[in-house]
Amino acid sequence: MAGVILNGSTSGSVTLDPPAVAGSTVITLPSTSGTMLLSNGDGSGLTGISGANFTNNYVRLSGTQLNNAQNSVTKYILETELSDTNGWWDSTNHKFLPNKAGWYQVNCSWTPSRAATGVLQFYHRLYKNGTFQDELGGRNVSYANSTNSGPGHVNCTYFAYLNGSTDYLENYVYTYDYGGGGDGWVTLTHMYISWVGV
Amino acid sequence: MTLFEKIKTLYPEFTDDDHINSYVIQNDMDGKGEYLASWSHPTAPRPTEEQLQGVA
Repeated sequence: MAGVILNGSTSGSVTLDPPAVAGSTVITLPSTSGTMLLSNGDGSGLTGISGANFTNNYVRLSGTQLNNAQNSVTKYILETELSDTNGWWDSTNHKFLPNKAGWYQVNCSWTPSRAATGVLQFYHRLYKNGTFQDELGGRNVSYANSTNSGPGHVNCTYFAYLNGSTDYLENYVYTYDYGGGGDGWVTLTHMYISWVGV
Repeated sequence: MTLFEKIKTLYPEFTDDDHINSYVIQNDMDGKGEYLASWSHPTAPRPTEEQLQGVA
């Protein structure tokens, strides 16, 4: 059967044209009146659709200085919770364990430094479920410091999917002192972990 | 003596790149201290626990 044409009461018409494929296609209309969203519309007339609520869907942390041993990947546990309305940061085990599934964006800034003049290599490594994963981008942050103070911040951005029940994230840091074995000094200046979608 | 220092003693010929790229020393800050999480040096074998403990 070809399409069905509904003629308007005075002029015009509406044509319902089934797709040219096998099987049935069912269109179910709601029991209330309304306006259908068309593919060439901008959705500006729609109501009742709420955007992502970022008010509470994030944690904000800062930290204090960790003196990291030479050539060691060390869990950073010196966090201070500045904002965590949902209790997503596990301050006992020092990990991010949200009860809301979805994609999370991690933004953080670190200040690495060392005791003497030389070069210090620094990596921030984000671990998911106890394992460092390349796709989280943890290798992308490298830092060389030629003075004895931290001249700037190392900024990091990651995305990670967490299942809202068992998945968690942890911060690890790595330092290597090319000058001969001194500790690297690392401070988490700030960290935001925000839910951004499903 | 740290684990890094022990490996440096066992393999004095290692360069900075060897130390950075050939193995991972990890510390989960759970009270168990540092451990050798992985070893991938192309020629030098992974040191045994006995070798590491034998380094003064």
